[in-house]
Amino acid sequence: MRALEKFREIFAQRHEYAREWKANHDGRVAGYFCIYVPEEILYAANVLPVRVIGSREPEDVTEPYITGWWCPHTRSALAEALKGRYDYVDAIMIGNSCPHIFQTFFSWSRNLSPSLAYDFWVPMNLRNPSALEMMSKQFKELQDTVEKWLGKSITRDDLRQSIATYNDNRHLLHQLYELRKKDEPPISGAETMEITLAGMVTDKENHSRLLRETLKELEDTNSHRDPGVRLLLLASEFDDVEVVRFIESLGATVVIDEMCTGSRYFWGPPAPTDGDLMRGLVDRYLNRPSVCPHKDIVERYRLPQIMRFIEEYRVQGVVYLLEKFCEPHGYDLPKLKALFEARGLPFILLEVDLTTPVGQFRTRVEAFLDIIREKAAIG
Amino acid sequence: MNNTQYETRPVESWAKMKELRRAHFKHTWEAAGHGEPIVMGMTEALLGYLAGLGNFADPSYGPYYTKLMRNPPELIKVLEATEAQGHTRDVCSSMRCYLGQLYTGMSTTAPNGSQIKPTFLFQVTNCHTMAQTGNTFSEYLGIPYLSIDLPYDDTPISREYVYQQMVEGIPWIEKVTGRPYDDEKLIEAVKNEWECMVLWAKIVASTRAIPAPFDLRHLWSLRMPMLTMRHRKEGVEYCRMLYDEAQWRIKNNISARGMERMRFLHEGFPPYHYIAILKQPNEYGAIFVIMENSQGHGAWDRYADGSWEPTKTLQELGRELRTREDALRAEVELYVTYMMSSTWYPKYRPKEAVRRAQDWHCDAAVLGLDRGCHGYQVSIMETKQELQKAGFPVGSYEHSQSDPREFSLAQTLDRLESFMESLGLTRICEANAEKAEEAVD
Repeated sequence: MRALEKFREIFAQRHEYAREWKANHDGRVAGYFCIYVPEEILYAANVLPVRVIGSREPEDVTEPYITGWWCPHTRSALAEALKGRYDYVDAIMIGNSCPHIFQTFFSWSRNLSPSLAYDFWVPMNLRNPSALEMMSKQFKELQDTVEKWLGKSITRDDLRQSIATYNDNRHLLHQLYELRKKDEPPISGAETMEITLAGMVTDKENHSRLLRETLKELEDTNSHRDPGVRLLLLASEFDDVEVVRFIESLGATVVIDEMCTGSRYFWGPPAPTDGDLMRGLVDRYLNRPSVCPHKDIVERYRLPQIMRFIEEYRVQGVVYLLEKFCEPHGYDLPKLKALFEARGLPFILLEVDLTTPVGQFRTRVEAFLDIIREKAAIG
Repeated sequence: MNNTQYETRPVESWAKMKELRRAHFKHTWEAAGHGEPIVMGMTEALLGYLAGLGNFADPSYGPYYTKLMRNPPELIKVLEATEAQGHTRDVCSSMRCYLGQLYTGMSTTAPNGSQIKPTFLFQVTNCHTMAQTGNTFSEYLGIPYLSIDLPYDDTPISREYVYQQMVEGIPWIEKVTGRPYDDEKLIEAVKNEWECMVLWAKIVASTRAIPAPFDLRHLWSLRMPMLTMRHRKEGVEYCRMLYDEAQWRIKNNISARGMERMRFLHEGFPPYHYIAILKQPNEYGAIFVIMENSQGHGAWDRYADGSWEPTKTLQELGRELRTREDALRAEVELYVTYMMSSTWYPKYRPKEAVRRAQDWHCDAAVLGLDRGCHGYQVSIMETKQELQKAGFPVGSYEHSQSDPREFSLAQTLDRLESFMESLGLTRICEANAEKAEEAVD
């Protein structure tokens, strides 16, 4: 089996993977809901951080807890938990995030009684001058809570090692994304998504090992794959790989993404492994270049990052996969549309739910790609 | 069921409320002429902090919000102006109303057609939609933006965080306004703000009485000067007047509506474009008596057994504010510790709703399932379960707080009437209904 296929398998069997990891490592598993939970602290304590992700299956178990007009991703995540598919999760954690994902955290903590349910405030204006001090105290408090929960200390060396492991993994993901800049990217957007998603539910050491193998395979492959139209994919916590595969099957390649199940998860410089480790970690979380629109307040960082991606990856068109009922992303749309229009960059908005209207999407995406091809032909 | 017929009469403070409300909005258009700054944003908190600047106008994100709520055809045009820019309809409907005012130029246009230029944008942030609206306004109008995070939970870390942000904000405010920050004015304003919020808690607490001196519809409008002027002496005088009236009505057994066969808790926002929903139970001789939002604007002491009482004034606490730090720390305490932001923090809300229903002697609860505000909906279904577990019948209706296109009046009334009838209530005769109606203003 190619390393690439192993990621697909891990993600498809993520619950089995976590159960097995737990049994083999004598560890605990923590489900986290947002990319502002510092996984490094958990991993340092022999806790496997697992991103809580739904299944995209229609469900009927969340109705008593969530109203009908709620984001499908968060609803599906809660459904998975209520159905017992996350029964191996010992703790759940969230940093202040959108109301929808907070509802999932809250309903889970109230109805499934994990041994630890921990939430903390993440600044909405991430780079305000007081944020670093406040987040440092909060990360320390989180560390204290985890130590108390487990009845053991996290040593400086544990934390340093954990940070180094995460840095290594992020570095490898950066390398992978670098390959997508090529004229003929050796990997598709859907395949890349499988790798990043697998990384959120796997032991980072294992993920990095597979990633090294993949990078080697990709370097050895003399790819002559025609990428078709080069696309940027914008989304929130989007996890439906099949939709991306479908879009690419119509004659395109997603060469870069800006979503929190993709680049937003790992982008940015490494956290320092010497000096004040906790402060360095906080600095990394607060100053990562890709920012969730929920926290992109006062001075915007997300939009310039998107424009940099467009430039560096030579993007020809932008696809926004917007989760139905997603409010934070709904705010950024006019500004983004204006930026794309000013650059003459075609843009399409596809609203996604638990199920996908394939016929409608096909017509719209085909027409969108035709426009881009025609534009390219005219020059 | 309580079938007593009580005496009722109009609320005398109503006229004062209207006078102050008019003065507040008039000030928006006149401030620049007096050389006073105009601070845009949802400045419903930390008003004392801003008062270090001296007088300032505070038109929220658009001074025509209430006017639009009373005129659905015009409101829909404004909402459509927002959607035409590309915002989705899943964005908070109140914020879409404000954004529409921005895109159509209403936000900065006085009734006489003259234009104002806000000095800066200020947002106390515990709601991302308000904060994101701030971004749009700031960019569109080209005005600087100061956001102060207000965490939901009261911890030493969150208190220190809010304090530090306020300290760091002062030189920023001085720079963008070109005005020196006056600590004396800050201290005076924080004292006023504290007193207003204690008085408001007392006013809301007074509606625990049977009969209640005011109902929720009264309080909905009566709170406006408290929201907009709590840092000023006019705000304090108004709250004292209202509190005195509440006490007088209680002493003389004056009821809000003449009957309260049943008392209801309302959880979740009502539709602002059909605020008469808060009077709907009156047709059945019943009243809405309390909701989380009404209670939440006051300053409360909360006790370990889940109970609460209005907190003490600074004077009662024997607390002197002498320095900038004293005042800022008092301001932080007021909002982080005493104001009930638990509606944003679902961990507490379901149990607090039960306590609210019990404390205000409610017989049942109605939930406003509001598509317009996502934050306020977190935990609402769990709140329903908790209320039912405690023995309270619960009815619900769907709406969007500021978007009449997502509201069916006929269906809503049908649901609420069925709920009332399922509780054994019947419509009261016309004469009583009219009497209840007159008690509004």
